[in-house]
Parts: sequence; structure tokens; C-alpha cells
Amino acid sequence: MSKEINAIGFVPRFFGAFGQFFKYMGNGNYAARCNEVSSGSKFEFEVEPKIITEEVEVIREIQIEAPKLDTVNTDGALQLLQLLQKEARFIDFTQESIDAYSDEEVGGAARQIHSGCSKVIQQYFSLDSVHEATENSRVEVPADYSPQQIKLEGLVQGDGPYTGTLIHPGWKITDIKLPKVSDTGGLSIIAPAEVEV
Amino acid sequence: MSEYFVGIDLGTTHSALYYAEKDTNASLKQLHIPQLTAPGRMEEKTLLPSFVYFPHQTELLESDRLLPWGQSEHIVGALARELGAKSQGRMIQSAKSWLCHSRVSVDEKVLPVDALEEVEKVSPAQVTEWLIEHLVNAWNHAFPENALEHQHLVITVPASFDPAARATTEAAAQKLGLKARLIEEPLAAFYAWLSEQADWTTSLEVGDHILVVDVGGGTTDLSLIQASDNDGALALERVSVGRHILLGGDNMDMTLTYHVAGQLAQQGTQLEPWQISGLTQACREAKERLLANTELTEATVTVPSRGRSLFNNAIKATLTQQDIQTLILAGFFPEVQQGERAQSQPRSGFAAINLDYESDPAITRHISEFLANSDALPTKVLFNGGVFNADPIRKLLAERLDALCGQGQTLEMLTPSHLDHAVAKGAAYYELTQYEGGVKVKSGLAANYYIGVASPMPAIPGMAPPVDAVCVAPFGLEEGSEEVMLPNEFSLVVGEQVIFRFFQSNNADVDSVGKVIASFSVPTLTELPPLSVYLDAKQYSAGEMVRVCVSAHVNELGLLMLQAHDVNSDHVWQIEFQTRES
Repeated sequence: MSKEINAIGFVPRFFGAFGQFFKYMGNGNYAARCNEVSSGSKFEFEVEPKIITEEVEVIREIQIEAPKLDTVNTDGALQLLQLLQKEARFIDFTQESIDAYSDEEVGGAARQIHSGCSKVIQQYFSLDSVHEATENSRVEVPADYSPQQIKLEGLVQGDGPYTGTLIHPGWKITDIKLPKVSDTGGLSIIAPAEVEV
Repeated sequence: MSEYFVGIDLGTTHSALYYAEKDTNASLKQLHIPQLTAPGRMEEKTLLPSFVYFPHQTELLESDRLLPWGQSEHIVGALARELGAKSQGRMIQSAKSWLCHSRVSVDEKVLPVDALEEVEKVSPAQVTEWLIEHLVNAWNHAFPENALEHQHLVITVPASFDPAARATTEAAAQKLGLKARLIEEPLAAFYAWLSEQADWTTSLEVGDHILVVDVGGGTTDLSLIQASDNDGALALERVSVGRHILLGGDNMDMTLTYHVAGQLAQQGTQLEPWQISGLTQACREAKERLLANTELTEATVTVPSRGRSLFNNAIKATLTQQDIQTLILAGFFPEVQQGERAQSQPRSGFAAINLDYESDPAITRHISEFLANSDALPTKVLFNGGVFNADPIRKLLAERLDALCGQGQTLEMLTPSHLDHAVAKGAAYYELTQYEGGVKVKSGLAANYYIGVASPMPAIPGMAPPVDAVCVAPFGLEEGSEEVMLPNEFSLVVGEQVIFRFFQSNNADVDSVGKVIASFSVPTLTELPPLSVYLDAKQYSAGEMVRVCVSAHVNELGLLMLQAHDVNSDHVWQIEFQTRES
């Protein structure tokens, strides 16, 4: 109920009755309304509103984005190739067919490439093992292991913990110290052409 | 705002910087020096190669030479060395060795020696300044709140540097607003060892003589330190230093290179200049492999072609363990007798103006000569320099020294922890002990110094007036010590350009101040580059001769200063070592 009707006191009622007399006399419409009220009808605001409940099925379309894969920054890859080419002639080596050369010749070159490559890795990366146990030792892997860090192979079943042989202790980079560059635009030139004047 | 103690090793081939913060008990740390390693690529490295390169106007883009503190017209460091190996006439190296060249002034524009026409030559002093400037920039970049000019700074110099070379190093630092103290490199290496001892007095005893053998890339520097008794406490004193020996690890690599080049020539392969530098690099690697593993009988030396193919036209040779034994070990460290001296070979009449490289490669012979001059035998040895990273070299030299000192005794080896960085580290530690206390190695002038005084003589055609040498500063004169006044009086020409001849003694006998070496004995002394000086006439007329007394002292930066005091007034003339003429 939105509004209640309160009773009026005697004095205002006494004086108001004269006003109502003339209003009742002069307005047919008003007189008809008065009759309705006196016959027991109620005003709309005196009545409790009726609540109607009805079940409606709502279908709304939600857009789910397709799984997105991150692209890694290519600048770092280009810089690493630059460093490997400079120190170890890495691109030269991989781009040349070695079929025509003897194992001895390839071995000789491999020594240089090896020393150059390891120089680059040592200089710019700090390497560590993922698993500290020695290779080929028996290790236990807890049930809540991180699959990014440990890869179970062979007969993998059940809830763990798992025991097995450490085939490879893994590698992880703990620190990277790559050179700074003033202009990344030139990175795609892995090695400039050399012209002796 | 904090204060730091900073040590700079201004090496012939590499420079390094160590520092420690004041009142923090913090350990000595090494500054990583930003430098270009390729066009447009900047890296921070522990060593700064002491190379300067003048790029061609089209060679590099503006952005290619960008360093954290801006751009520079010339390239310093790793990139300079790399570019210089591929292009001629644009690179300066070993500028430091030119500072004590006997015939070239430090301000003479001679570098690069092989400069192209469009490359403007610069002086050794200028190059020194550039190298220090790079280190200053690196420091100020790392510590923007604590500029280097407000820190306690030490720069190391070879023990064999003459007063003028020291003054030039100091002047270069001064131009950059720095106030640097100078200490000798072998001494700094010894300080590095001291810094690593919990209690050095347990390792040394009274009467010990410690021979410091510092073999760098291009130079060998020798010093002898004595442990003596000072009122019951153990005190250390640097008693003798060797002469400037241009002989080092680079000579060993060159020896192998020429050996391999000779082999190849016999097989009919003539090498081009660019292949020589590649071959030196490959020989160095092979040498390190063979020295690291003496069971290895041979190592392959390969110089790949410059083109894309690693195999086509590649030059291949073999270095054997035997080559290393005969060329490096026997060649540079032969057996010597006590008192044996370095051999000098007859020289060719004309020579290109360049550094005076040593003709005798035997480091052991230089050591025996040094010990004979110092009149002492060591009881302990401290090795320093990258050469001694190789175990067999260290062992062999120790063996040779044992034999040299005789009496069947074994010299004890003292080893600083890092052979390449010890000098910078020791320099920073030295400065730290100056302020926070600690053992100080007493050191003073490394020789007696003499000035030439013309004897009065009637003119004889074809004969210059004979020159006597008068001792002005005695061996061992220490920094900050009282001024020493010569008993003799002299006449000094003022108001016009005059030349002072200057000598130093070759042995460790102390001469008294004012002692006169008569003209016929003067050839036993080593003549230093003459000083050309203009002394202000003051109240006198130009060219007048003034009666003066001469005094000498070593200032707090370790520089020898000479002063002439007017007998008749308060005038004092400072005789500066900076201005010397070839």
C-alpha cells in the first residue's frame, strides 16, 4: 500500500462540511465519486498491489575470444644470431654444405665454432641446471611437480609422487645480459658485407 | 653523498677500475665499463682495451657511436681494437709505452705511427687523457651523485716510468679535473695480495725480499720489496725497481705466429696481412690449450677464409707441445746464472720511429740482471699478469728462480687471486689504507736523479763543454718528505729557453744529494730525455745568470719536483717535468 487515509478531526470536519456541500451541489462528477466512496469502493493507492510472477527463458550470446599465442620479440633472436656469427661464424657454418669436406676438416672448424659459441653463451647468459641431482641418479618427483620444469617420460600413471632416473638435468637461464643497441632497425643485418678498399 | 676510494689500472693493453666505499667495510668492487663492442652496440665489460680508433667519415652512423654519456669523435675500447685490426692507419695502441720514449716527446703528435693522410696525429699525452676520460665518464654514469673528481683516486704507473712520464699521467688526470695519486704497478699487485690476507705478518718475516714479477701484455715490470724490522713491528719497503722492459705476453703470441707463418711459407703458402692477425688469435688459443693440458701433443691452428666458406682457402697448421716447450718456455724462460745480463744484439743503423722493443726475449735474464743491479736475492715471489694464468709458465719460472737464487732453497709463491685485475684492485686498496689505516709499503724514488751541469771550460772547436752530473734527488726519497737542499750553488739562466740534461742511476746504491759525478763517469748513468724549460726572468733581464740553490722533493701525488731558489731574493723557479723536448 503506497498511501494511507487518515481520519480528519471534528473542527476541520465541521468547517469543511460547508465547502463539501457546495462542491457536491455544483459538480455532478464529484457527487458521483462521493457516492462510489460511500458505497465502499476504495482508491487505487489503498489497495495492495498484486504481484504476478512468470518464468521467462532468456538466451544471451557471449563472445569468447579464440586462444591467443604470444609472439616473442624478434630483436633478441636477431641479436643472438649477430653475436653467434661474429664470434663463431655460426651462420656461415650452417649455410655451407659440409658434405664435400672430410671429418677432419669439419672437426677442425667445429673446434673454432665451439669456442666461439661457448664464449657467447658464457658472456651473455648465466646457465644453471633445473634439477640439481646428477645425471642417471634415481630421483623422486613430487605429485605437485611443475610440468614446465620436469618432463615425465616412459610409464607415466597414477597420482605420484613418482620415482625415476634423471636422464637430463635440464638447463635454465638465471640471468641475461645482452648488449644494448642504439638502433634496433639495423638488427636484421646479421653481418655486414665486407669490402676491402 | 658518499665517498669512494678508486684505483685505476691504466694498462698498456687494458685498463680496469676498482673501488671501495668509505666507512662501509664493503669489499673492493670492480666497475663494469660501458664501451662499444660493435657499431651501435654497447656492452659493459670489466676491462677497457686501451685502444683508440679514428673512424672514416662514412664508416659509422651517428647512432652507431652512442654511449650512455653521449657520442665521441674517436672510438675507445673493444670496438677500436676490432676496427683497427681490419683497417690500417686509424688505430692507436700502446700509447702508454710512448710516454717514456727516449726520443719522442709526450706532446709530440706521432700517433698513430702509420696514420693515413686524412687522420690527424695526436700526442701520447692526449691519448692518455682520452683513456682516462672514458673511465671518468663510465664512473660518473654509474655514480651520478658522486663524480670521480670528488673521490680519492689512485692511478697506477709502471715502476720504471721516469719522472716526466709520471708527470704526464698526472697532468692528463688533472686536465679532467681529477686529483690522482700515482703508485707503481708491481707495488699495486703486492697491495692486492695484502688485501686478500687475513694477517700478512704471518706470511712474511723480517729479512724477506719479495720479488714482484709483473708480465703484462706488452711490458715486464720488476720490483723488490723488503720486509724489515721497524721498532719490533714488521715494515715493508720497496727497495728496487727494474727498467722499462717492452716485453710481454704479446711477444709470446707473436713468436708462435712467426713460427707457424714460417712453416706455411715452406709449404708455399704466403700469408696476407689480415691473415697474420687471425693467425695470432688462433695461435693464442692453441697456446692456451696446450699449456692448460700438457698431455695434449698438438693443437690445430686454423685461420678460416674471410669469405662465407669456412673450409675453402682456410689456412691450417699445427702447433705441437714441443713447439711450446722450445719457443715459449725455453725461449722466454731459459736457465740463467746469477748476474747474467740481458743480451743486446747489434742494431740496424736506421730504424723507423717506433717503440724501443726489447732485443732479448729472455724474461729470466732480465730478472737476473735486475737482481744483480739490486744486489739482493728474493726469498718470496709474487707473480702478476695474464701470462701466469698458465700453470706450466708459473711452475717453470719458479723453478728457474729457485736455481738462480741457489742454495737449494725453494722460493715461496705469493699469488694474488686474479692475475688480470690485481693492479686496479691493489690501487683501490692502497688508497683505502691511506685513510682507514693499514700496512703501508714504504717506497720512494726508484733511482738517484741527477742534473747535468756544464763545467766551465774554454771553448774548444768541435767539442761541447763537458757536463758533470750532480745528484739532486736520492734513491728512496719519499713522497711528502722534507725538501732536500743541495749544498752546491749554481748559476741559472733565466728569461730564455734553456735545456736541462737529466740522468738517473742504474743501480740501487744511494748517492748523497749534491754528489758530483765527473763528466767522464757520466756515461754509467742513464740519460733521460732533456727538459726544455723557459724560466720567467722576474726582476732580472732576459738571459741573465742568477745564483741559485736547488732543492728537490716528492709531492703528495708522488711526483718529483725541482725548485731553484734565488740566493739574493725570495724568488723560486719551479722546474717542471711536463715540458720536455725530443
